[in-house]
Amino acid sequence: MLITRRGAMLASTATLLGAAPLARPALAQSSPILIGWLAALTGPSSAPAIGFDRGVKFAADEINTAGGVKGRKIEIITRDTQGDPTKAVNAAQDMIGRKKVSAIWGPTNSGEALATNAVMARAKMPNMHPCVVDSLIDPVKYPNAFRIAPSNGQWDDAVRNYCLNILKVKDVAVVGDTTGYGTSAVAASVAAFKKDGANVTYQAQIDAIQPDVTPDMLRMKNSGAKVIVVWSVATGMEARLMNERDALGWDVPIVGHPALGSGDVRQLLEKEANWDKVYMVGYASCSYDANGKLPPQTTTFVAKLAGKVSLQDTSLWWVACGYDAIKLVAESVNATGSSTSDAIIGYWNGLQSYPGVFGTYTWTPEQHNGYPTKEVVMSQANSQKDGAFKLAPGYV
Amino acid sequence: MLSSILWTGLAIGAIYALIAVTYNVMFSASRVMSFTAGQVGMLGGVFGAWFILRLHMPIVVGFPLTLAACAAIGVLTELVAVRPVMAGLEKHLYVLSTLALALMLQQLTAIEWSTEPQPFPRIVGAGFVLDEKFWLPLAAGAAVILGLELLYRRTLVGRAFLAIAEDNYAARALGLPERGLRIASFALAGAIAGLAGFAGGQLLLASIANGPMLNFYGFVPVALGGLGNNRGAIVSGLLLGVFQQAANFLFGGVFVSVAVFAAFIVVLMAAPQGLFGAAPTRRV
Amino acid sequence: MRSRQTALPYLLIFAAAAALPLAGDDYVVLIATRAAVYWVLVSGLNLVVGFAGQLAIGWVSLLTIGAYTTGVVVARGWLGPLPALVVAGVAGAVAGGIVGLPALRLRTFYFAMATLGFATIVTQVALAWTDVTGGGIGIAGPAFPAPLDTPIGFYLFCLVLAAFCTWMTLNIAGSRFGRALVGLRDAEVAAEAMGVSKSRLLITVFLFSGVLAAVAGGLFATLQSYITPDAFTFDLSVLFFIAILIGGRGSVLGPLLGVILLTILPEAAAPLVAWSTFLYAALLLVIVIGLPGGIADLLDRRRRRKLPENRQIVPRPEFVASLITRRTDSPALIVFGLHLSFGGVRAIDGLDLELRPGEVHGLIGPNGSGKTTTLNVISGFYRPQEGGVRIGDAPLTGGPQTRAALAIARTFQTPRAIGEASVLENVMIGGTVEGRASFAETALALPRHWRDEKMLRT
Repeated sequence: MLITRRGAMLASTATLLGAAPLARPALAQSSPILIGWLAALTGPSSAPAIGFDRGVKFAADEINTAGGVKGRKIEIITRDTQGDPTKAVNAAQDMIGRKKVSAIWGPTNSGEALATNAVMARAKMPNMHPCVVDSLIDPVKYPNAFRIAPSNGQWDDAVRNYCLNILKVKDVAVVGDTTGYGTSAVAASVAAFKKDGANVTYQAQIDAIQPDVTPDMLRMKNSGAKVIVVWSVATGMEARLMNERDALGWDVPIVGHPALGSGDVRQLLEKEANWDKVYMVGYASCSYDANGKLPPQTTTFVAKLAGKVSLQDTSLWWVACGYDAIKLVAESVNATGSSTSDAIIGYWNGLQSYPGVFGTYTWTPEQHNGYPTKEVVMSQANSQKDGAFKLAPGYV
Repeated sequence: MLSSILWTGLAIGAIYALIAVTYNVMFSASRVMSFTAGQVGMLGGVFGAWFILRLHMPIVVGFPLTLAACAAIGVLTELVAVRPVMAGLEKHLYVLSTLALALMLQQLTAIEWSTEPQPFPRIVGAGFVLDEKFWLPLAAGAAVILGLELLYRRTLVGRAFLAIAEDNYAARALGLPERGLRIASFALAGAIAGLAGFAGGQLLLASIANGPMLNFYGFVPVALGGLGNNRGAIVSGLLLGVFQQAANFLFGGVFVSVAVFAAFIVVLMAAPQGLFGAAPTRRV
Repeated sequence: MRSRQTALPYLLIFAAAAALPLAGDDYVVLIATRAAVYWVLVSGLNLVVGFAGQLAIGWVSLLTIGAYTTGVVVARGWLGPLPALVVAGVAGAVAGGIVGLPALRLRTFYFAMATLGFATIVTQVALAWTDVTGGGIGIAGPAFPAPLDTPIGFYLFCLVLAAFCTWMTLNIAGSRFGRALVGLRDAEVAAEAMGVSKSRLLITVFLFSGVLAAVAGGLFATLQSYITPDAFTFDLSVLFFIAILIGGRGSVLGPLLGVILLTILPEAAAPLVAWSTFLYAALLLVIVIGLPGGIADLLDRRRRRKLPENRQIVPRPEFVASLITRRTDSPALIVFGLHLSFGGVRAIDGLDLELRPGEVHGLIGPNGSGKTTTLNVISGFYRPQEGGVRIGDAPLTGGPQTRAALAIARTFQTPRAIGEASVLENVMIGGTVEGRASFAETALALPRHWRDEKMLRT
């Protein structure tokens, strides 16, 4: 049975209603390993969490079918936070105090993570999350928090590198939406571009529900921009920008946030061709090489997913990342024989080039950003197939 | 640049104006202002996309079905949120009941449909002079104005609507079926909102975020034009649309909504009855 | 308005709340702290929505202002967290006043829309003003010094504040201000005729409410430890508002229970979180249609006794004399040369009248002869085109509120009673102008407030 988006939501609701998630004291060796999952499954910006969720469930099933970790089964305790920091804090405290989980994966939105950091740090809860805001990771203030995906700085580096060194343009327009992420990402991006000697001809926030982006596009065109950098998860706005680019007959590349390549954007395009010359942040592990092949580890992973997890309406990297996160918790219990907080954090701190599906992670006590910058690449939006993409042209 | 502001402004203004007319029609029938007006507008777009794109119905079937569905929601508003409250002692609680219903509609759509904006089908398939996403709302607006004028002035039903709005007791004393007329009024209001959402679907996309947005921006022309005054609503709606686009061009981003809101408050404080409305009287 | 409350339910609730930490569960303490913080805001909002009947739906804007004010003040090192709360309170008062001003001119639905617009604006500003608010990244909430930096310590602090706010709002609710607010809500014209100044009272209540909401915002910021604009959702506004409606307007206990219920509910039904707003809205609809009085109504029904059968209303003529003979020394009330037209209709065409103190005058005439109109002119509701009213030599100007202070008032052909208030409370509205205690003195139950109450009840 293919796990589709709507099905997953209904299924998870049913499961949670049916199961009685009472904390069981982890006394016996055969007691399950409880992993908390703070997922923004509904509400705005839910697409990533839905993708991660598929990987999470798949990993748990795979481990449990193989007998669990040292005889202990993995049990995922999911709470839908709806992207609301208030609910995220409540849920985190619930998992820490009542459910007594061994580790928490998530939350998936930076706004939520900013609020849950303090709660988790106080409880020394091992926390792995994919949120991008740079200030979230601080090994001194939050020794328990680890990032598994690139930080916004790493994304920004990849985009900037592509614009300046591969596309070889110096005049850039930087836009974002009016959300928290959009405003801060644009500010950081503009500062970094200027530092590298680029000429930022235009910068602005565009309201995601604004129906007509012509004024903004015209201003960008008139400012002499040779590339448009977009930092937003608002697929509606991004599609409008692409459509308007075609309406103006303006041949300019659009570079930026991974959401530029999502299925939601493609649906809203007036012509397939409007997706040309759109390059967004991607990952080496989830990119097709010149022969149309994924890297070997990913190919094996995709083969395992076939028939069990749908990749059509999501991104492969989300599924892979969720999978890796659960595996990392399981591995730490396997290697240390214990599921205490010190054991898990200690294990993660010592990982060197751990071969996950999504990336090759390295963490040290001083560095909690685990994703290697060289594995962040640029992808071509219109090459989407099974949730993965081709590398952008000019990319090595 | 100027023509872009003008045409987009007028098109969006037409959508706002139509929602304002929806508010007015609901008010005329019941002296109630309903929070569901903007939500039904949103549903016009969502239903259109659902029937035509997801269920693959042809447009000639999908469009009337959308209008019918929205009219039904209008009637639902009357049955569930208006009538029970008007029957009670505390008449002004309608604000809360319609708010509750509006929220329920929005959440249900978010869960069943999607939280992300979805594509809306092309209707005519060709633009002449202007793209159809601009002239469709304007055409819809013109059609509604003409239709309402004909209804209110030429038909008996239309005049009956006016009668129950003017003086409820006298109308009933004359034997007008007040209940039936009120339900018909709400159905009409729902259909107008649905038409607004459908005609504006390509511009606004089928998104639940349109609900609260249309609620507010559809209300501003009502406030400015004077409650119950359709002509004032149309003029104010078009002006609002152009003002909003001009503000967007001049400062863009976050400050557009601040500008609109500030203008709204200033005008209302100076003239609570609206620019075109009559001063309210108080019964002492 | 409910009949006189005993303190018992409140004592029970707060005692149970204080004992909560003994359960030793950080999660329970977190939820309880949240409920306490929300109640600080809702207790103030209750006066605006439940008592004054102003539909301020977008009140989360004040929570936002309070949260960011304390956050910024502490982050920049200007003040410590406790003084920062005071600063936030001031900001809240200002914002409350701004939000409240339109309430004086706009009708219900318009005002509700305006508050919604205001809430959107505040969020937009928080997002855009990156230098101050940190924009999308937000800022850290203020951290309190020990012992308030532990979950239990902070919880007890919030609980004390919540109890204090409950006490203050109870004082206001049971005072002439509370009665006047309800009077404005249910029978505005009659209340004004009794001298209730709508603008002064409403602005005072909005200021007070604003202070409480902003202080709640500061506490919220500490509770979350970090605030970003996306924490201040429309859902929160709806929650506050619905808590009051579910609790019952004109009550303090009801909304308190409402807040507790609505804070616990989403946690108890965690798997249904996607439906939570839908369920809140459905609950609101059910309450509005089925049980407009809310929880308070349910509680009250049990205590309402049936009126005794065969009761008699016995007039006590001996009191009439004391009421009327009070002002024999004042000059006469003189109506001179009164001409009043409504458009083309000549309502009063030259009227001269002298009312001497200690007399009872009857004004007799057929329908449409202008009797009520004359009363309205004397009470200050209408201004004549020619002529006027004076007491002795001093001409009377101003609206009905000013006339009441001079002991001029009117009753109405159709009774304008305040439905839920007791008979005694209805009558006490008449004495509103006689009260001397200010709003603040009433809130803090200072001696002058008790003297007022005693005087009005006897």
